[in-house]
Amino acid sequence: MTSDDVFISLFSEESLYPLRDFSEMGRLWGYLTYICSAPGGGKTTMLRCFSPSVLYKVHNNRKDNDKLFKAMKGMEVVTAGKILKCGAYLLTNRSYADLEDEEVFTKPQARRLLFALLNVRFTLAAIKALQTLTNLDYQDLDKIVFNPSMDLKNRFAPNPTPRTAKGLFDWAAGIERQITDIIDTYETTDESHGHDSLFILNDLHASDFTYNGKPIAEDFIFQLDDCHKLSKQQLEFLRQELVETRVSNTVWLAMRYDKFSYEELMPKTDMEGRDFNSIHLGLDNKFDKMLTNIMEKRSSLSSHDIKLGNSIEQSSILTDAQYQAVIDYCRNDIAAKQNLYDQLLQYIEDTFESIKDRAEQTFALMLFAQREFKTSTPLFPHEREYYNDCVKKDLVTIAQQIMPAVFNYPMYYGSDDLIDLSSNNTEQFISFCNVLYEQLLTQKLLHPRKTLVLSASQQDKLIKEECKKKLKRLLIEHGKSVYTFLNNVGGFCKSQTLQLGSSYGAVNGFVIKDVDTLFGSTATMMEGSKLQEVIRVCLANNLLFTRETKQGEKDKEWTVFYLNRWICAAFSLPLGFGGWRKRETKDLNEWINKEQKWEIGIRM
Amino acid sequence: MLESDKQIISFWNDPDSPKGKTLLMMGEGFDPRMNNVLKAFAVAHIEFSCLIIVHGDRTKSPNRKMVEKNVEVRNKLIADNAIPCAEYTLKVGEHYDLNRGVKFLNKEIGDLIDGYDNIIIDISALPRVLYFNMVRALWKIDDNRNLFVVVSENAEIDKNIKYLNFVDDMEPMVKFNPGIGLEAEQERLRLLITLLGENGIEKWEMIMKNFNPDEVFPVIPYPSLDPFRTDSIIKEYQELFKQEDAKDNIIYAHERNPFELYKMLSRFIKSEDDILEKVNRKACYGIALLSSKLLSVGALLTALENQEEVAIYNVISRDYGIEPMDFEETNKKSTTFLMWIKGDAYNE
Repeated sequence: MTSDDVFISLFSEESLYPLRDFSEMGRLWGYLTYICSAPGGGKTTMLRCFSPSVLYKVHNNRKDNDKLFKAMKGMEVVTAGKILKCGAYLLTNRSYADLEDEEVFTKPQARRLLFALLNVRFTLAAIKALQTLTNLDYQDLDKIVFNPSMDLKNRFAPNPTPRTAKGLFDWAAGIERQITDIIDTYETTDESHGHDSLFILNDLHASDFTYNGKPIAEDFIFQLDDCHKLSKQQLEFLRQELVETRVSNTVWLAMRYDKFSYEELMPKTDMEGRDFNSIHLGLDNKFDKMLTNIMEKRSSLSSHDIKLGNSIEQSSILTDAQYQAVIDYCRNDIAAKQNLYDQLLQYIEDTFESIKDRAEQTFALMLFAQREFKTSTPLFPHEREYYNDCVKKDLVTIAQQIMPAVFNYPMYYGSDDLIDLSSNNTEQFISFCNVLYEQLLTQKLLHPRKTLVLSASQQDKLIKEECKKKLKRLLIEHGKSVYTFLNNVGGFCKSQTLQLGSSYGAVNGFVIKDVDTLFGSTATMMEGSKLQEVIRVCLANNLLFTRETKQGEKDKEWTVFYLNRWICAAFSLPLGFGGWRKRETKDLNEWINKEQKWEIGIRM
Repeated sequence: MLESDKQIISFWNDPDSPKGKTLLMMGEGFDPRMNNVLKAFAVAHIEFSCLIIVHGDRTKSPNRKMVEKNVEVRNKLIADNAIPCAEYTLKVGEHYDLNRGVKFLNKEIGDLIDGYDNIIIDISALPRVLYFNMVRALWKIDDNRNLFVVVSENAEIDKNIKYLNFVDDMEPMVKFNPGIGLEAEQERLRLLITLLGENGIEKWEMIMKNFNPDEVFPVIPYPSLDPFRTDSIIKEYQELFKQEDAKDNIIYAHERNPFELYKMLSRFIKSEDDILEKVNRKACYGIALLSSKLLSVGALLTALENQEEVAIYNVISRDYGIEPMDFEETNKKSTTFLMWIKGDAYNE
């Protein structure tokens, strides 16, 4: 199998839903679309689906790839007879950012060189796409006739307009080499170098190329991946060119999504829907469905006949002894509190039949008692008829959440947790699936006749180990500051979650108390600081992510920074959202510089 | 190639040694080996000038104290021995972009060496991207100058330095890129030659992702002073050796002889090219630098002679983690190597 075959067999057509929606509205083709997601969220995968080699395979083996073919047909990308549209893919690299050096290039120079580089690279990508569809070598590219529908005479002057794909390729390759040399050597150039517009995106059409007298495809989809590597200025140049001149081709700009870069780099939102589309991958529940689909597809490709979804325990059943250990611990703790809760303990014994319920209720009662003792010791024993006023439902929910963390019982198991742990990141999801899959494979090799099941506690152990390994790698990948900061955030959240007496449930996020809105007018408080840099790296790499919430006076809006779910698992924190604490910038600055010691309530 | 301070000093004091004015170009950093060469030359009363390449703000270095201590020792050596000295600050810009600094240095290096007949580049405290480009720029100048590379080598210190916080734009080194990343690049077979060394597995993974090789050729430092070094390196890179072709393609190179490595790699490239030519194909060779600086000189020479085909891969790290150790004591075991790269030795 070639890598394209593997890609197609693993690709879930569900992933195309955002594009399909725009296509159905008639707003996809001939439009500019921004595709945003967190790193690993599936942008590049989505773009690759429209690459000529993938489309060629989907089209030619439509019986084997029936679902994907139908999805593509529905979007008017292919018909039974031909490929209508194909991607011309570019990846943003270092060379573009280097153009922004004001000491070397003036602004007009930088703009002209950027446009020229994009023009020629899109031309080359487009010709390579045609090359793939026709299966021709570079030497044979002169068999593809180029007959532009627009008058391009001025674009190629003083040379004549190329008449074959080879001529066009050589023209573009020459300019690409020239500009990259300029960027590499910092040799200054005169103002006339480069292009004054992104004319290729307007003037180059797939239908201008014919092979053996027939068009190869009708339209190009010009794709620029990793656009967040362009500067704000460069993205603004692009937007002006693409939106204001109403480019006739389809252009997709894919970029990482995080609050910092998005608001900094994206055009104003009032233009959205009118001048451009934007797609945010992973922000709705369809993403979960897509991940389940990926898990099934990968399992079905396995040569060892292991179905991951069916082979991992989906619930954790603790033994009676384990529940009894919880009850015994809580009763001991409550017993030290002067018999004030005896009636309530008796109520639990009398009312709840299952040992699981009794353990949870007793744990919740212990939390209640600890909270009460923290403020003031009650004067009289609690009476059993007021049990529900004391041990409220939300307290039981908190008990259910944090009990496994306190007693070291399985916390992460089953398909739903695998999806939760992925934090909208397909790669992350696959990496966890791989860990479990490898364990299943080992089991199968060792005990071929045994039923293949990975227990909740085995999954929990493997996932925690994997998360700790990943956490350790952050030191190497992102340096001491990021590593120390995240370790402190994790330690802080754990100490808040497991301080039993004052636990108000799982905490896995923080807000910055003295910065009203981190990205608003007061952002200058952090401007250029190490803290800003660390948070920027964390957001850009999906180690933290933000959610807006309202709380306090006049529903004040806060930006909550949540730990990525896998980091929660590295600290044995519950995965549910909600809990966060306010911290001042001075605290956070300390978290960058030194690993603090965190009190972790009790541990069994 | 000369090994040890003693050999180098006696070579330099020999009546047949290179004539004319000598310039020692050196970097600065936390590495305790930074002043070893300077000290050896100063103590032997060799006549030379010194050009210090400053490539970062030492006050912002995570290992500031170590850098400052090294700088203090250097300044004393220069003052005590009245060595004419100048500084060149790399123009890294506000984002501390080494590549930017290198591009400016490439433009300005001709002026920096004006008036000198012998150039010695001490790479002990220079980042790879810097000395690769310095050597390349001087190699390309068509003149009769003598060019030497000198390095203070110590495997134990290397082992204790961990590279952290990688620059995430993984691309071939500036000026050592035969067109990778160009849209116009035609399909070529991609062969990755990895010079293995300690603490490099994460770097190797990054390079693999960018270069996406068709076949891998690990270079293992053997023979080695430490008889167990080869084993521990193979253990560290077990992910690499899981790939079927890696096990069959191992190249063994003497850990202290970059010229031997250069010869082996040049032969390897030539033989691969000859085979591929017969089937009308071309290759692009990536050389991943995960090894010692000494061995990397072999890769540098290979790249200089095969510029159209060889891409150098080096992961720049912004931070270093240093395992606690007695640097002063360990540094005493360092060995200096001097390599004559260009000039009189090759002219006859």
